[in-house]
Amino acid sequence: MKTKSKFSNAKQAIVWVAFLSLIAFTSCDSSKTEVSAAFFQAGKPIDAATTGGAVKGTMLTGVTYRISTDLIVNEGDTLVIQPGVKIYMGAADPAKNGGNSVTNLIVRGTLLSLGTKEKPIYFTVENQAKTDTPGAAVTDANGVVDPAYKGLWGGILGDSKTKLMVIKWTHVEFGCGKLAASPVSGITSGNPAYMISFVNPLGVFILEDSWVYGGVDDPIRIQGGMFNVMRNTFEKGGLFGGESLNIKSGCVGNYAYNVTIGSATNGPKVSNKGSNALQATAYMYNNTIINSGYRRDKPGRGGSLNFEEGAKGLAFNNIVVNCKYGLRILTADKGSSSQYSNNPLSPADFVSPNITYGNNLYYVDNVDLANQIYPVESGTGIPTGANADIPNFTTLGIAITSTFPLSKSVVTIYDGTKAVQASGTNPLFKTFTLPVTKPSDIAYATGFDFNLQVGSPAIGKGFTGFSPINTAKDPTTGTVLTIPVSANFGATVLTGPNKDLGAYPTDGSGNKH
Amino acid sequence: MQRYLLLTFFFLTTLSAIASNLKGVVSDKTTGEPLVGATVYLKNTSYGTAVGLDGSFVLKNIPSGSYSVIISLVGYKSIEMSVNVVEGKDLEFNLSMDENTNELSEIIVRGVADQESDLSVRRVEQRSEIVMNVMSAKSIQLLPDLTVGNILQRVSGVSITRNSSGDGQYAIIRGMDKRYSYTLVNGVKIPSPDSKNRYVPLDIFPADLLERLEVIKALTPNMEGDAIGGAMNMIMKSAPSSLAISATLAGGYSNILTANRPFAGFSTSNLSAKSPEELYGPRYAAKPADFGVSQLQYTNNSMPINSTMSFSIGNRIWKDKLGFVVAASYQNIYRGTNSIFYTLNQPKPDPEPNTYLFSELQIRQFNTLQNRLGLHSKLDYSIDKNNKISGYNLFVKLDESQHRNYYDPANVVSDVHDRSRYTTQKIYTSSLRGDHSIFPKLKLDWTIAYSNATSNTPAWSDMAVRYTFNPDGSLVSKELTDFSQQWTNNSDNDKTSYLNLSYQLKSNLDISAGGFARFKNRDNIRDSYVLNPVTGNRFTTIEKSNFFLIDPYTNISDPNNYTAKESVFAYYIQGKYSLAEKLQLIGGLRVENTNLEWHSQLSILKPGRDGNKIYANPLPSLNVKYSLTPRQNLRASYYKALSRPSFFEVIPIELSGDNWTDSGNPLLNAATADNYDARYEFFGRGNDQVLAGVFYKNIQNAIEYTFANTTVSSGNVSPNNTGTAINYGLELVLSKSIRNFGVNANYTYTNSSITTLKKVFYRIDANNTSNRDENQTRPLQGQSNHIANVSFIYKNSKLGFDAQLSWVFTGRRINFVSPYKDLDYWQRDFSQVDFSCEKRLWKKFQFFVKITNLLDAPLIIEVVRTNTINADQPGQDSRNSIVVQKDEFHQTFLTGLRFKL
Repeated sequence: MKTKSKFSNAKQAIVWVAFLSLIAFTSCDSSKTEVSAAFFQAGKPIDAATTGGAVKGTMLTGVTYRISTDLIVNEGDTLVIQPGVKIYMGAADPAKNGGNSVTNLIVRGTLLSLGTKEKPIYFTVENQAKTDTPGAAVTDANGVVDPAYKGLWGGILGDSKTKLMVIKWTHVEFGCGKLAASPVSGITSGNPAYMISFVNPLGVFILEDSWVYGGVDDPIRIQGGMFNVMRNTFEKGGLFGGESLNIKSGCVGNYAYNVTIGSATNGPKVSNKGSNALQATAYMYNNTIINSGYRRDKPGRGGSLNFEEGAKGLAFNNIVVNCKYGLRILTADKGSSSQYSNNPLSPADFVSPNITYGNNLYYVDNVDLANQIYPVESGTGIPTGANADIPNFTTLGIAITSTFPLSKSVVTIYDGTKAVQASGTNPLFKTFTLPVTKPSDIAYATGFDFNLQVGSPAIGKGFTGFSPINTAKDPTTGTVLTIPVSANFGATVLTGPNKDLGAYPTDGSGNKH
Repeated sequence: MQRYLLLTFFFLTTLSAIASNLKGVVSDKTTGEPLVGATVYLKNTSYGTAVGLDGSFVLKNIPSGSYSVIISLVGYKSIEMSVNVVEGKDLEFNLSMDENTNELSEIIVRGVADQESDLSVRRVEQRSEIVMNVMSAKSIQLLPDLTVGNILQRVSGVSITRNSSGDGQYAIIRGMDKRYSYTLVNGVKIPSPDSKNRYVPLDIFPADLLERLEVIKALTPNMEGDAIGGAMNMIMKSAPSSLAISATLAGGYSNILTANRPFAGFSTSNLSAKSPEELYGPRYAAKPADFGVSQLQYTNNSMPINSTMSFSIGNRIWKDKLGFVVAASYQNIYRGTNSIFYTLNQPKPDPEPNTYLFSELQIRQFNTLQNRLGLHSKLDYSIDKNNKISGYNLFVKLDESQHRNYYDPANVVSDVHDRSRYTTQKIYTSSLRGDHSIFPKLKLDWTIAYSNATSNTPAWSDMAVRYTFNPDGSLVSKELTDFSQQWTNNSDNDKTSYLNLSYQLKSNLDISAGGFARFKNRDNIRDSYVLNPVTGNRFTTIEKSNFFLIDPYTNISDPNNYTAKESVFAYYIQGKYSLAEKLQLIGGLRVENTNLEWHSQLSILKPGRDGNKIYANPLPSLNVKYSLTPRQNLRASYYKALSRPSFFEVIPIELSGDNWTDSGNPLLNAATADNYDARYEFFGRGNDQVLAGVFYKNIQNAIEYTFANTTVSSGNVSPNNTGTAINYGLELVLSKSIRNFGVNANYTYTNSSITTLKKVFYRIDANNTSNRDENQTRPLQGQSNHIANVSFIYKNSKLGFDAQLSWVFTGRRINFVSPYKDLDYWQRDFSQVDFSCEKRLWKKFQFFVKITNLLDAPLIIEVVRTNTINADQPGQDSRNSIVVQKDEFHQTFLTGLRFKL
């Protein structure tokens, strides 16, 4: 009996082990993940009948293209646009997809949009007129929104592998529509597209002699890459917020000889927010920035040129007319933050050579603006660069009257009354009358000429002691990045600072519009 | 039900003793347990008392003479005996009572033992095959806690994370964060109403529906395997042996809400449960008239009254074949929180790497009205001796209307923000179970269960009014800025069938096998709109403001919209082997096969819009229990467990935030862990107990959030399997009673570590800054080195008076793991003292008082770095840390009446 019982125990044990091994076996090696692949289509040569899809090749002079679904340039492919091409981007159709459908040009490869002064290229919406009238509000009396801010199509959207985007003599208008489901990195679904988005830190973005009109959020945002943005005109940028060029960490380049008028917030803004290893660096010089900062209703958000979150660079020779703020230098996220004692700006960012500035001309028609033209530093004395600016802080007899933190009052760290219409501050544009009573009334450039009249105080006041930036080295990988100079594959020329201020120096080397 | 009533037998003994004090101990004849609450009195006199927590009693200063002593307790045969008291001499005797089991069939015996008593749960712990801690309904009733979330902090090894009202919401078991545990109701896992995660908010469950709360810390093969931390099992009230009715009614208030700091709430009665898009279709262009503003109209209530009520009735009818219990619980609680909150910003490289930076200071006030409803019914029917069917239904609902107000005191132009959020969370679970003895040795049970968890937010509105001031402080203007309204609807339902077979192979060997299949469907919808104020209007009140919509369409491709299906098939084989009565082994293998499928709103131009993950986890386990003596156990166990990624974590959707972009990771795998436990248990008389245990966990593929290697400058933070984490510790539980005084104490030491890559912003040289990834080793999120509970209990059965003073200590721990190195958010040591008591008024009525947070402990979250913010900033109190959040709740009071038949 005993033997039998032992035997049966052993038998049971064997069956038991065998069974366990069996289920253990059946359960192994079956782990897998399957995800739907991204829609892919080999790029077809583009022709006049193309309305969307993956394309490559050349868009030909004289041809008008009507694009109704996303146009995609695959990685490795190039799309060349010849002078004079008109591209009508399909307008958002509210009846489709709950009003979310916008058309984009998605560039994963290379885009060369090569217009000329005589034959510019257009990215626009067919039969859409501009409503550029003085004093027009964002919405008219019937609540109809100015088409500039409607986001009638999406944007020219780079992706994380986009090598090169060269846009010359090109009109980009009426874009920034809401991306229901974002097709690219760097924009979240449900947010407005940027009219131009560039996100590859190893890529190059060139924008020259072009016109960017309208926008819902930033007309252009670059989140990585070398950039050269020169001699462009930005009008009506952003609805209730948006910069002509919003520059994030991993971007290094120049922003010069541009005109910004009626931007919701700033002209150029550079912030080192983000996790790219390369510190955001922008050289902002010889720009003319007018009537900006008024559609951004949150205070402390700037209105002309802006450095924040540990970005670096320089700001010289700019003409700033009736903008809500002068140059602002902040490292905290929001304007208000710098007002907390000891949660302040990084002191190093005010020290040369991280951010240097001066020789900027400020013209203002009222004291609220005048109180905000000089960049103020936490509780210290005269702003470092302010005595090189026009008007000169000390010569005007302005003094710092309070230090941070301020109580509940407007930011009056000094009394700017003496800077209002100060003598020698009217830049004397050829056709743009100053003073004005309400700067936000004019947000467009059509009909104005921002060249300088003879005798303008902006002539001969420029600082020329630096060169444009053209190279950067990634501190982690050691990769050296450069801005190529080339007629078709890079910047036409890297123009340095001028002895005159603003986008239109008298030697004609600046803005050609 | 007369025959269940006490049958009295007279047990006559004569003792020739002369004494003036009568002392003694009363215990159960078979188990030797002290019979707490048994009454001892001298017949035809006013002398009488009740047996204390340790089973002892004293009758003092009895005049000389002959008496008849009667000792009685429900469920026991009464004892009557004669004593002779002589002046100057004490009399001491020990008595044991027999259980009154006459005429009670097997089924009914189960009902007779009071399942809700402490004693009963000690037996559950003692007899359990696995390592667990149990809290009885009797203990819960005496606690000041109204929800399961708060109760859990009293359990050994468990700490809680709190919601903005300060109530416990999620449990951290042995330092393992909420994602590592699951929640059961009567053994059936329930889904979560959360829009993205699996863990169930425990503040939904009212405490008074519980029969007991089990925290299970080691698994057997027949239990679901995703419990690296453990499992919480809410055992709901079951049918009593005879008619039982109980009811409570209570009122109280939250001390923080006063005339100076009133409750500013809003009406929820006119809110549309559906968005314009849900009402009129996806192509509908919304008009201003489609949006209500009543949720943004606030009315003050200086001292709102909280109320709670509950009712329960149960009985056993039809020759005791059918038992039922129906219970309802309702709570209407106003809570207030005053908070200082610094919002996170990207750190700066100077003066030292990763110097802390905030972006905004917010002085916040929360006004929260919680309306909690719980309904539950349980039926059991004995078809015959071998077949029993039971049905169970639970419905719990938490309506929470929360108004959050904040402003930034240092801002020169002050925006006053108001957010109203009204959320209804519901969990419904229904199950039918059968227990069958097919042959004497073969038993079978099955369960089919349906559970549905939903969350619906009919109003979620944010608005801000901008105050602009003159330099002299006078107001320039008040303007309304854009405001948003959104609706969310989530549902998660499970259909599960369980089957278990158990066969007694030998008298000391049971083999069981079984499994379950669960089909889950999850749906998440979010609709949002922005309303733009017509400019030029000065703000007076919200209802007088005019709006228009620049974008009248909701985004039907909102990244928060997704559906997921998950099927889990699990099967196991388990053996239970007893060796020489003292040694019990339970072990076997379980296999869980998971198939998760998702459909998201990602662009078709990106990979991962749809996907599925299939994985299988073999989960062996072995539990050994060795009974040193009838009162002492030694336990050792090993089990393998897993933790599944949440439904949303695997979808590669990107959601941009202020400082980084959150994104999903389809390659994320389930974490698995090897868990080892050893425990010594001593069960003394009554509730006396000593438990001492150690545990060790090795977690592979732990899921942590880190910066992904992406190129876009915003940077993506995504969940990743970040290698191995170690977590070990020890637990001590001590319960001791001396006469009417008792103390319950537990202490848990936990130590865990994990190393992950984190971002560091640093300066390269005078001209350049950069950032890079560096390793940081730290404890797991939620793990405190020390957690402890001490309760002092006074129980006077004679007076019908119970009182308890409870202290909960949660040692410092990481509440939020920052993706930036050394900037984790730590919750400081938190210590709370609560008091509660109850007093019998008349025979069946009790009066009770519950007071929480006697010492007004604030909850403080800090970044442990040299303080770079000025000491005069709100909340700052140390040079060595930066306070980033400070919440104050003050006390709550509740008093009421309980009726029990």
